[in-house]
Amino acid sequence: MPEISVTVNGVEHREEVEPRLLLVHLLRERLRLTGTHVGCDTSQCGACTVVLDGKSVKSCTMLAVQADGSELLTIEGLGKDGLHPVQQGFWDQHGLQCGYCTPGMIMAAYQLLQDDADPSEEAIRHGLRGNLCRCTGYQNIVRAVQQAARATS
Amino acid sequence: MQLIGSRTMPYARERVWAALQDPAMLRKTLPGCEELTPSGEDSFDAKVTIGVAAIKGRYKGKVRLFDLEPPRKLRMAVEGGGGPGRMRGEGTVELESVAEGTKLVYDGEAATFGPIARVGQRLLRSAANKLLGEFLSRLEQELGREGESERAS
Amino acid sequence: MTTQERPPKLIGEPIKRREDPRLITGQGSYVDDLQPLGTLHLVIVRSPYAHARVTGIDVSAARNAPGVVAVLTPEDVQQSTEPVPVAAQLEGMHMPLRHALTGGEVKFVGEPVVAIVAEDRYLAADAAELVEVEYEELPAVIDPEQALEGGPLVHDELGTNLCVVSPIGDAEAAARAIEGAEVVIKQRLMNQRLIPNPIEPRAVLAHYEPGPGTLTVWSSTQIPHLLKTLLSACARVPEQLVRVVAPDVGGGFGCKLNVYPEEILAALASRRLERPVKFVETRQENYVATIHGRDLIGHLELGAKRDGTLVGYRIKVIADIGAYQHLLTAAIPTLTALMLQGVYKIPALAGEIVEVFTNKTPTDAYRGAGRPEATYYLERGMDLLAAELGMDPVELRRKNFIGAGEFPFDTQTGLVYDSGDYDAALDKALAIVGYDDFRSEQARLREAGRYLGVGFSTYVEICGVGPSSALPAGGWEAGTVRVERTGKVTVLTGVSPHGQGEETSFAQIAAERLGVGIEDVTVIHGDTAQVSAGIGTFGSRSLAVGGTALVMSLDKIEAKAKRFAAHAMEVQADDLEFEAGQVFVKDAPEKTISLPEIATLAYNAVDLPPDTEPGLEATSYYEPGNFTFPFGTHVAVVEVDTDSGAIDLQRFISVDDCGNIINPLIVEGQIHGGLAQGIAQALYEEAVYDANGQLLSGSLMDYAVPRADQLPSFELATTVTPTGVNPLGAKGVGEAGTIGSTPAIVNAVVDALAPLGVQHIEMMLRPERVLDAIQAAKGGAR
Repeated sequence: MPEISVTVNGVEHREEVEPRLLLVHLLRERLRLTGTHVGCDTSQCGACTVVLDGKSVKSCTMLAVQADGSELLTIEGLGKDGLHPVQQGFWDQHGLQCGYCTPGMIMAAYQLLQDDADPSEEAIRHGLRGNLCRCTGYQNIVRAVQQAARATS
Repeated sequence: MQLIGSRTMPYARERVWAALQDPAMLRKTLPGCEELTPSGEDSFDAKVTIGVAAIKGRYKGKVRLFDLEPPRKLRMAVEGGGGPGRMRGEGTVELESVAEGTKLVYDGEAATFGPIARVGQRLLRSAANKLLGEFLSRLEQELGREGESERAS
Repeated sequence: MTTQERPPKLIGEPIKRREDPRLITGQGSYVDDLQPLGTLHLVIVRSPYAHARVTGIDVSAARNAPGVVAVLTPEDVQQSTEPVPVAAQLEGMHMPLRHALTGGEVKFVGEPVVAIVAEDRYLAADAAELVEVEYEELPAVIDPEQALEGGPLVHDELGTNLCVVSPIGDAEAAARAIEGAEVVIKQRLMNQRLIPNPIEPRAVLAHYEPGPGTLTVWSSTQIPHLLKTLLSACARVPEQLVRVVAPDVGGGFGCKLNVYPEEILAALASRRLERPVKFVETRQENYVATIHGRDLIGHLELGAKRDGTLVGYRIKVIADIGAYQHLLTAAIPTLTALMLQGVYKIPALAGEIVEVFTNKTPTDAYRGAGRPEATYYLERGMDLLAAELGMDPVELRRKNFIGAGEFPFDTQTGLVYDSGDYDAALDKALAIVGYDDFRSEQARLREAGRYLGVGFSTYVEICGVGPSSALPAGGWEAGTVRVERTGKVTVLTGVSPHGQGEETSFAQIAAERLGVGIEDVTVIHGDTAQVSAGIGTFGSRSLAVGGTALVMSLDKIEAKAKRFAAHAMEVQADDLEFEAGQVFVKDAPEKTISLPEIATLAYNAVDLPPDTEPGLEATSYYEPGNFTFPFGTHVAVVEVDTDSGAIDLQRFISVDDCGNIINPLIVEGQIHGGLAQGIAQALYEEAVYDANGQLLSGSLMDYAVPRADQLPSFELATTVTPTGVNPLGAKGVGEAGTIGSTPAIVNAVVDALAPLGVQHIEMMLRPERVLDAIQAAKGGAR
């Protein structure tokens, strides 16, 4: 079995993995970071979104071996030192209900703001189109990202 | 799902006709074919592994040729299944002598069942066409190789 | 009370949710996040055919595959478990039962046939591919109208595809009224099949422990207590030894208000193997193996006088319920029947609900459950009638509204509407949309070849579900308040929120009533070992029914606290007032005793008042005397591109009245989410089957759950007409958005295209259908 090395939320892990192991299962079942969720099997829903080397990726469409040597940021790492402004925005603006899509949505929003610090509503809606939410109708998610943009700019 | 297409090969119609009924030839040219054994007059049992996207998996199936009009036309019924689902199809293969050799025209209708039916017909059609294209290319190649070895001997 | 600052008001305030800190940091705990040591994984082999006879099952290769611990076959499961439960049993209904695995004849794509239990999910999936099932394909029936007209039989033994026919209203009176009406419109209206799509697919983890003989089941369910009872029967474990936990649940929308084969199988496998067994559905499985919603064809006849006064309404509804009944399947279309009358005075009304079997996934409750269909039929009907009469659709609605002074109002369907002010909501919506200005702008733009439309939906829905007589398993709810020794408060509720925020709203009620900080209150739900009884979260009932049980318990705590206070202060209990965590003497308000002090007295119990037990805990069961009837007006503004058929939803205005509001933030969120789903029914979502019964829109690639850039920002407002049904005056809001919004969109699109002669377009309004409608109106095929 190939051995890989990944840095997740600042901690390095060396793991022997089957070549077919999905990255999301490495995170959830090996490293016990269950904040990253699985919502589909065709990479449509985005519940599994994590940040890999500065890009948001869907961890259910990547093999763990493909992440070898990478740096990953998951929802657990984002709020390490108190809530991140994106998390605060989701809380303040009621940007979540059942919470299942939320970690992926927050990670996608985090990366969106890294790439564009002051996005328009249209840019936020477009930027989050890879992440499905069935509860909120997205309006409060948009407000959450706008609040986070204001807080970080 | 309808599959229609044609391919012109620089070989005599009789040779193409014979190849289409030669288990050894079909075993060599059908993509992913692991086994192909005659199961009766003009019938075969096949085991095939397909590695394309959502239809990836191992399949077992039966192929039956009927209404044979050598060397001009035959009808073919295919039925099979595996992990990703099942399929059933029927079609006509016609061979026409043309200046460049033989024009093979196929026209078939296939129905899919189970998970492969759910992954979207567009995906399936392109996957099926890719596999058919691969088969015909390899058939053409094998016929060429056969010709060369005949000349060599 | 004079000496102390009044604690902050909590009820009615937009308190941020207390659920959120764990959910935004990845600390939520959903079923698949639970990974007890030694957990096995269960994977299902499902039928690829809509209708077939299973002629052989060979599991020998699967049994010998790496990591496989057990293989369950239909024969085995049929001997070891009871059938999948059906609770809603209507008079005269055919009820073909199925077990958790089907052996003889499979009747829909996705029906479970074999279950594999293995050491991990990859190995289980590998082994599932080795199972060889031989099928003899049988003719399938997909179209419900064909199913009624002698198509192939789904269940041979019944001799018919008809499940049940339920009449409502006065058929003779309705027939007479329509016959004598000056104007009658007739229309076939399709309310298409939808797929609920919670982002968390179904998941269950069952753990049988042989020592104590207990079965603990963690399930992504909306109904832990009902699941406990039903699963104990299905898996044959005595109920007192079963504990069901609904941990964080990633959305339900009705589809987790059920008992599924996989829950029975996981329980059986765990009992046999004495290890934890987990099943987690894939999204593609979810599309065929979890219930669907809607799929009702309505044949509507609406009669009126020339001046627009409604005289009669008759509808035949054909409900395609799929291959079997699930828990509440048969009852859902009867909610359509109950709500046929909508917000109008209709002197004669009759409905006939025909439920039909087809070879498709069973339907059951999906957000709105029966009421969106009723609203769609009547609100489309009103626009068709307005067009026929050449009347403004707003004027027509207003002319027929039940007046604010006419409540309580008896409907032709046997309901009693509690309270309402339909004009008030409509007025507010008209003001927000700027109706008169819009009409002139619309006329101006039409000159320029642009097609804008406005569509209205004035709805009423049935909520606070409901009196027990209306529900197969009871419609009450239970709630406990326990003041701990330290004065901290634990609230236990039988409702089972999965996004609705009751950990916050119930804490608001308890904290304000008891005068403690909200941080001193913890709300516990979804665990049958902690919460003694409950029904669950569905039917917009949590606050109206569960909240009332909480209020009743708070009343009891208040009374008992007064007895302790009166005893300690040597006054009469009648002389005491309870307010904000203090009990004080009416005539001498400086004399107070606090809740923690009372708790100490209650638990130390050294000087008990006469006839008083120690402790400060109260449990109540609330049986609602009636449903509640929220209402509102939804307005859509669209522009249609007549070249491409594309619809641009420019504005959506939603004025909703759900009675008193405990937390406006949560109410707004519920409405947003409901609107998204209701709008999606009109514009994006449809479960499409081919002639073989294969679900073509079988994944998120082909079934369009709306994305962030496919919805506008909604414009919301409320009116507040409290209900007298419960002491909170709250009606419920979970489904309103889904119920009102859909017809507003269709009405707006038809309004936009009215100058071209378009009268109706069937949902969902994909561009191709819009173009076809335009062409048909021009008098030719495209």
